[in-house]
Amino acid sequence: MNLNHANKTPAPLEQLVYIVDDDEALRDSLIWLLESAGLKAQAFDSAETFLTAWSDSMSGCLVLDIRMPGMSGLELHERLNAMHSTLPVIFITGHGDVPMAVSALKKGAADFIEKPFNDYDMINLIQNALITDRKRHDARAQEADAQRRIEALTPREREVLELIVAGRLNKQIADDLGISIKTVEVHRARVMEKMGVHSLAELVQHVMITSPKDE
Amino acid sequence: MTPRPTPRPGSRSLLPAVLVVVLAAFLGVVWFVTQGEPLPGTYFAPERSSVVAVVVLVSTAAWGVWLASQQRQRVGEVEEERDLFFTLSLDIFCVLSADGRFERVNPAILNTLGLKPENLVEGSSLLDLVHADDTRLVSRGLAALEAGHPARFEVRCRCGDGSWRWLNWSATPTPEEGQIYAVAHDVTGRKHTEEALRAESAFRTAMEDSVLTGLRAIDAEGRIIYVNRAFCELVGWPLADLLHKRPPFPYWDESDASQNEAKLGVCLEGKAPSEGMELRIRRRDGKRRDVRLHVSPLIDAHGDQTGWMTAMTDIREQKRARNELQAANERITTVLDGLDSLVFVTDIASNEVLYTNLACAHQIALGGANPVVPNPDPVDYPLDPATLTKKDLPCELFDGELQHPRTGQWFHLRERALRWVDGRIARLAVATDITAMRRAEEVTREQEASLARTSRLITMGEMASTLAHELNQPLSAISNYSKGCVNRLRSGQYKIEDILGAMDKAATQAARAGEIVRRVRDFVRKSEPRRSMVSLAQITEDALGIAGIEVRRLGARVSTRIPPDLPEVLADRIMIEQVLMNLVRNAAEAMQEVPMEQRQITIGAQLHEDSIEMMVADRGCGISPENQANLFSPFFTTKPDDMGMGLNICRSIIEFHKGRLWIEDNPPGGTIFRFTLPLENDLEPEPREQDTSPA
Repeated sequence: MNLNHANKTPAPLEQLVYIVDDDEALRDSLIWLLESAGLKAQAFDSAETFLTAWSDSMSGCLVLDIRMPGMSGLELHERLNAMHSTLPVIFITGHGDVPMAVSALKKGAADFIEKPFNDYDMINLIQNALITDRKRHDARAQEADAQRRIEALTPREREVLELIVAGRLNKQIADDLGISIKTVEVHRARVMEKMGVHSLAELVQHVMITSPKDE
Repeated sequence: MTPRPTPRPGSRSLLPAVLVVVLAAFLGVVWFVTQGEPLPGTYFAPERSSVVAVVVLVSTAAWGVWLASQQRQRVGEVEEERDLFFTLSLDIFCVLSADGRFERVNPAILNTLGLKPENLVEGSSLLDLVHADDTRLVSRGLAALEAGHPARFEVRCRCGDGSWRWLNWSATPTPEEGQIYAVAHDVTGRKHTEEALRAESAFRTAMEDSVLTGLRAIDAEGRIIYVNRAFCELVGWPLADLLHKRPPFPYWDESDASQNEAKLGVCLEGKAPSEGMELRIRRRDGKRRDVRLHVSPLIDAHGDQTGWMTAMTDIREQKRARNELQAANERITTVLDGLDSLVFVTDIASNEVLYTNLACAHQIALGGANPVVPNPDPVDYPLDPATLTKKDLPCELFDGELQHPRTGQWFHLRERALRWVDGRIARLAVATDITAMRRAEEVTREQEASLARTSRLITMGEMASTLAHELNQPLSAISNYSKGCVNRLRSGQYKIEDILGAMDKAATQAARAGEIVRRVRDFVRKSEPRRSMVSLAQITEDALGIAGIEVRRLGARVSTRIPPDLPEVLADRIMIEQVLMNLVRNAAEAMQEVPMEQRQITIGAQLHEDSIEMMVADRGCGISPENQANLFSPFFTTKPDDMGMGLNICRSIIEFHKGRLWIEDNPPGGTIFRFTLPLENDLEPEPREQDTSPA
């Protein structure tokens, strides 16, 4: 099935560098620089225009000027956080913005770079951010996959899955649910198949991905 | 004038003449009778008797006729005399009918009342002449006359011209003739005099009774001959107990008797002082009163002095009023003399000084002949004070600030024209020395100016920050374009047009950076410092004037050790002041962690061969070596709420002055900031293009 396919060979991810800066020359030159490094970039002249264009499916990273007229870079970052954006954010700071950048880092920004910046540093940061993004993206895809698989289970299978993950033996599960060991074994095989795993360890890992972290 | 007729002797010589004739006739008869044939036994001769009888009869008849003619002649004389009297009398004589009608009137009525007698006689009644208010009197008189009694009455009678005259009528009835004889005497003059007297008397009584001054007259022996009501009330004794009394008077205080006696003696000698004498009297009720006596001689109608008139006034109220007035005066004087302001009053016309308060008197004493307070320019008066009249008063003359031309003191002067106590038009001036206030204002103004310049410096700081930010943009862009080109050229995958386009854009950004730099240079040139020879002691004082408030608030004390003979340096006063203010403020802030008594800032100055070194030392916690290294980099700060521009600017300013600013540890703890300013500062920096220091 396509589920299996997705698991084995992930689709080539289309990552973009989103640039938000009020200075036109900076946007233009940054695109020019990034393209010379083989990176695709898209520029926005304000936080507001980016916010309008933003969607959950965006992938890549965000290069954000910390000081802008209108909505500042920090504010945009907070908005994105509030919308559970996973896009890594690199702040561009000027003189005296360092304390601001630090507080932005604490709120989850990927990194910051001070103007005027070295092209090598900038490209490095962006590539790191893209890797982070890709990892996050993969994790999210895996989680979504596991979630989908769990949702495909029948209620009885889900009960059996929970007891398996809780470390109960087949016999105990049969007693818990008041069914025969034979039936438990059938359910177990079904669960393993539907979840696309081959070992108990793999199954537990998949379930752990989906379970809420704060529980 | 009709000659008065001489009295005739006839009536008086008639009787002896008759006696002689009778005697002669008797002797003749006797002789004749005895010459005839007497009757027997008698000497009587009858033939002769009839002759005698005839003779006697004839002579008796003749005598009777003579007597009668004599009588008639006498009556005529009397009547003639009466008529003469009637006509010539000055009083009005008239004969009235019983009902008061005029029957005869003498001509005097013409003189008295201006009425013609003949007009009156034609049926006029006395009542017609009499004033309506007096007719009752006349009617009563007529009634009495009718009853046969004489009557007198004084009534007003109308004159021919309508005026009235008082006539005193005296009338006698003649019942047998049914007539009234009346005489009227003009008493108008007397009546008027009487009335005037009565009015005068009433006026005098009223006056004597109404005056509050007690009046007492004594005769030459000191006996009281008169007192008025006020006197009685004043001494509390009734009139009866005072009149005709000799000293000691009942109102004398026994304890003062001898003294009073002496005073009375002085009075009687006519040596009483004109301003009067004070006396303490004892009233009947025992209360004592202070009175004042004024004595004047009492002169009678003949111009002779008969005694002394004394006017006595109660001065208790006066004394009280005087005391109160004095107290009020003292209060006002105390207030006026307590004022720092100069208060004085001058006569507008003569400029004579009428009043000065203590402060003003002081100044006058110090200033000698010079005017203590500057006079306003005459054109500054709304109106010419010399033209003021009493009805314009009081009015405002001047309210403004003036500088004394000689002393340089500033005064706030307020002038009013008013009516002085003696009625003159005077100028009241209140002048307050506001020199200190003016100076404070000037200092404030200067400080404001310096604050403006400070903010200019702060603006420079912000400018530097903005400049850094703005320059970053084109520099970053240039870098990006160039690196993009480099990467492409290196990889060999490029289109030449793209490279050219990017290079072009990079050049544009370089021009943009140049434009920013030019703008900053313009700004810096406009705010070029103004240098002059300045005293560092003065600058320090000014800087502390501003920073002192903040320093005290932070609990620090400042001690200044600047040699008085320090030479002046060529510098921008405001900029150096700014540096000092910054250093002092930093010093105070650096000591927030140390105990209060240790928070001591020392400002010192030291003269070197070619420069002056200033230092600001604190006893704070000091600055770590690594922080010392960063201290002067822009935006460096150890304070969370600070821009971090201060020290950087300070150093820039000092370096601009060809001086040096550095930092040392204070051996007992804390930090010392030192800077130098060269003495030979004739090397005014030429604004060279390539010398633009990085702001």
